[in-house]
Amino acid sequence: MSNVESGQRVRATVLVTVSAGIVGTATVTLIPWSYEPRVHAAPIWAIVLLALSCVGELAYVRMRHGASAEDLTFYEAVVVAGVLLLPPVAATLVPLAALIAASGILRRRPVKTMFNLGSYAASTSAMVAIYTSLAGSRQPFSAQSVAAVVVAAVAFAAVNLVALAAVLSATERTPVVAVIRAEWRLSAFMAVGNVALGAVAVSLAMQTPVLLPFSALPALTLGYAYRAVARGADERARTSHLVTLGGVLAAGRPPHSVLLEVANAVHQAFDTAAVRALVPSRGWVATAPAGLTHPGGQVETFDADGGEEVGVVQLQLFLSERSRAAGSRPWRGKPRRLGESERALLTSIVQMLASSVGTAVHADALREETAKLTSVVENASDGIVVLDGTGTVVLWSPALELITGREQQIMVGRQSTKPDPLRTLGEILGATVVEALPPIDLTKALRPDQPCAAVQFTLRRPDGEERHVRASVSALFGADSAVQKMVAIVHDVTADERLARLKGDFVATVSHELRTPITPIKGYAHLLATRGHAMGDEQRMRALRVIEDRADHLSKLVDDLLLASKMSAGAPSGLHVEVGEHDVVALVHQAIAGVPNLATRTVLDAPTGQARARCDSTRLNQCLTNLLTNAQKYSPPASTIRVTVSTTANGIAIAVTDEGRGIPSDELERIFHRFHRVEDSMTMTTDGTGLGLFITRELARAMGGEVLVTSELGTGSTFTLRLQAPAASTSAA
Amino acid sequence: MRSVLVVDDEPNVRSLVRDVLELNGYQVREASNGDEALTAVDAEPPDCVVLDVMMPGLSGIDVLAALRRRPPHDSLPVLLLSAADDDHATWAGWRAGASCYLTKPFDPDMLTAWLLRLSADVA
Repeated sequence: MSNVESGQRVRATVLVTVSAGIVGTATVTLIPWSYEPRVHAAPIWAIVLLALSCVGELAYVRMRHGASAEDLTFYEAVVVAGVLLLPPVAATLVPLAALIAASGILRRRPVKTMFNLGSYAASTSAMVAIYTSLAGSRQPFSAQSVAAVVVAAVAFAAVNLVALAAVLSATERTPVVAVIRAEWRLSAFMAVGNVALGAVAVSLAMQTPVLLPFSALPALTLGYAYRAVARGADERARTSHLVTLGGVLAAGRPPHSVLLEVANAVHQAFDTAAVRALVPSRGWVATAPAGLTHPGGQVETFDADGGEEVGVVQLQLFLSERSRAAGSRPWRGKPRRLGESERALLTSIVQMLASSVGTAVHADALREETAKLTSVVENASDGIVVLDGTGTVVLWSPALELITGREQQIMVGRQSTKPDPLRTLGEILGATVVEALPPIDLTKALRPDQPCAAVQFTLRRPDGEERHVRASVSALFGADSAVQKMVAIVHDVTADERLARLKGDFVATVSHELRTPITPIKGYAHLLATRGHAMGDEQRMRALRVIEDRADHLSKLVDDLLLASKMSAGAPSGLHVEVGEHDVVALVHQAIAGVPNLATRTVLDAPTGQARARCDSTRLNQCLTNLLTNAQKYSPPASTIRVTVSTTANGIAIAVTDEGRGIPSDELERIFHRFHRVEDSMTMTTDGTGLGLFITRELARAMGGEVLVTSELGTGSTFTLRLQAPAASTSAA
Repeated sequence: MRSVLVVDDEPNVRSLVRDVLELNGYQVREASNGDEALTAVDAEPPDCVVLDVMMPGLSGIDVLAALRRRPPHDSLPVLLLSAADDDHATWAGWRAGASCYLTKPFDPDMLTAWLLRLSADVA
């Protein structure tokens, strides 16, 4: 019977089976059968049958059902003989006694023994009851009694089949009906075969005992039939496992998974104690059944070469084992031997496994390579676009989304066909201007003999913004000289161009700013040297004062340039500020007084008394002077400049408001950039290096403050310098 | 040629040009921006104008172009005095109709030499 696993359902099934056996046996034993023996059976028969039952149970052919196994035996033939020869009670109890003895000899597990006993007790008592009720005739082999034996044997087989189906459904999770449907033919065949064997043996024993040994012939036939059935079942199971294995090898799974699943399939298909699949060069090991880490015992190894990257791949089959998984009982099976056909099959399997692992490793490497390339495309700061031969976008990188303002989802699949590949690319990118670099005919820039080209595009983004980009384009040409694939790496040079323009503007501005004070210095120096004698005293003094004043201005300008070069945006590392607590109101008064021609047009709104804040007094003066001269420079000559000092929740705010032309909103942040001027340097009407606000903001930040701006075109601008309150308090004294 | 109008937003440059020219016997008038310059020229045309290029409001180029559009002044000698010495700025000055283009810092002798040359041309 089945090799029963523990488990609640199994235990319940065993319990029900044992109960049925007890009820059946008790019924047969307690019923006062009006029985007349058909043969004069001596008690010796009971002993002979006991021995034969035992032998019948021991001479089994094992038939596997997944992880469980059913033993096909001659026990039933002996039961038939007992029914024909013995009184009902003896016919029931003798086989059961034999079964107990056989289980003891085979050292079957208690749960299996219990199940077998229950099942056989129920089936044997059913057989005995049916036969005794139906046989009637005194003749042992009358038509009626033979029919009774057949019916009884069918009942015997049916009860056993149901019990087997119940327990298999518990262990193998197969529905009871499915087991019955699969097994009923075998059960019927066994029933008929055993009836024939039992009846022939009894008949021979009674009529011509000397011919009794010939009854071994049907027994042998039955045995061979059993073996054929079991082998057929084994082959079917193996075929199913080999199909699984074929699927695993073909599925292109990761190497670890392939090893494990192949080990499992081989373990199942070849009925081994364990299977280990190894790739020694990589240290990969997979063992089936799972949890068995160190299988032992007789081992057969098959190996094959998995190629350069993998090396040898091995399959180790453990054919017997000393111990099974923890918690189970010792294995009593015979050590398995592999046949030649099995060896040939395993040699093929290990070769397929080696090639599959090789492929899987290769696929892994390919996946890794692809992931790397994808990450390059995803993270490249330059945009990447790939077009196929029909001018359809097949790849559009995230950076290209940022550059062109066109989303990947929309662009992939979009098609364009212009007369030449570069104009096609231009249309896809949304270009208004396409120029080859150097500027040659676009149709000649990309040809089979010159498959790479540099192109400059002016792009119009969907939001209207214009971008200048340069693209390195590579094309793959087919045999017909048509483009099969085109890859463009797109570099946005808009910012670079702006920076270059800013640098150019800066050079122009600085040269203007430096030349302006040098003009009177050099001019007056020359005048004093050549015509000094012709100049009056007062005129000479004035000339010298101009030289001194302009030299001071020049010196301050150079200081500003040096200061700006020390500051890198956001990290004024080379900047030295000495932050202390100072009265801001006094410093504001001082700054206003320090700017020529400012005091008369300035309205100051400040708290009476002091307003203290954390700052460097010299640097604050520099900041305020910058803001005040800007207000003066960028507003009409007579207009009012308003300076407001107020306390805020976190400190002091100094606001400088002019009535100038205002700053366009898109310039509000850029005016704080180094060298940035709202005007074009060629046509600008006000001087300045474009450093004042940059320096002011950096200084304010170095003092723990900030500079903010609000502006309205045509009305004026307000620059607010915020400073932190002294550490102890948040408001002014 | 005796009267010169000096136009520059920078007072120090104006005073330098004035001193240089007065020492050489010129009568000098000053204007600190383009509008003042055009008004001064209209009120009493000088013999020559020394004109700065980068000024708030009207630039020197604007003033020069405006003068060249007014018939009585279309041949008035105008000497541009600019801090920009690149080809682009120089060419813009000549194209606008400058009689001479000097860059700052300038040589006072060069200035007076050019004024002499311009008066000779006019004469």
